[in-house]
Amino acid sequence: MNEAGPKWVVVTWRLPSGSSTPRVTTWRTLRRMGAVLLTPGAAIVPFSDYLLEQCEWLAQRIGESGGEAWVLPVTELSEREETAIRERERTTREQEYGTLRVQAEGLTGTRRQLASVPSRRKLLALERGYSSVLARDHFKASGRGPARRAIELARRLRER
Amino acid sequence: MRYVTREGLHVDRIATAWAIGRFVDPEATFVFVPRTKDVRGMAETPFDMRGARLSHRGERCTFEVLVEMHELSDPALGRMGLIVRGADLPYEDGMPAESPGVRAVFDALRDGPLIDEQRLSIGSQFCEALYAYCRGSD
Repeated sequence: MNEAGPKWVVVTWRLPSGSSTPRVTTWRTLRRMGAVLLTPGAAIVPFSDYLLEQCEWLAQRIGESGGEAWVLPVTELSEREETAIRERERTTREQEYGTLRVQAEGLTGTRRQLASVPSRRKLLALERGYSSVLARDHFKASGRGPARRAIELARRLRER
Repeated sequence: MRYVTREGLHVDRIATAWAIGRFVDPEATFVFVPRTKDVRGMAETPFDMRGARLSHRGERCTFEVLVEMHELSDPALGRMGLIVRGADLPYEDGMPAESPGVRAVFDALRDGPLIDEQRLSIGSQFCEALYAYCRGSD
């Protein structure tokens, strides 16, 4: 028997047909957790006490909506499965960081042509967006640094 | 009354325990069990455990459910509930500005070398301060 603790948490669920609200809520919650969808009714997150708890609350909400959900800590995946899941998560985060970086650069302009001073509202939206992606970036996507630096540059431009 | 919740205390369980002792049952005592325990048939009153009556409901955290269940009408508790929810659940746009800081404090409390009784004691002092802050900001 493997004595190692769980490394992943899988949630499987089934929602009753009808109202789309529980479906949207489930999808939004999984997105905020940074879960990787495996199939239309199954998702996976890296194991942590925090994410395990969030999966359990999600399962409870699905149950309250008349559906059924299972939360299954997983000790080990095959190398192939683990690589595929990490890659899928990383690709999504890279896209999200990339979008933030482009938006930040749009605020600051280029060296040749500086944009006008970024508005506080736009800067706050960028910083919130960054915090949101950071909270679900479980594998430290490489786009994190460039996005953060682009947002910091926009902030400095505003504070100048 | 004797209350039971999951071990490895974090913000929602500590805030709920604090509110139980402060507003609902000054004689309350607390025990902590593994998350895998089934709440059915427990002699104690379970909270913030899957299947417990006093637990998350919809998008609300256990602290907010306690406030509603006992009709605690203090607006400061309502505001504190939003902060606790924001600190307890995954990042969401529109969460109170205080929530990330509160989460950082309780993350450190959970991940440090303390036992749950100590986490509850220290965390309760923090909750008392947060409550005072919420009263002051109304």
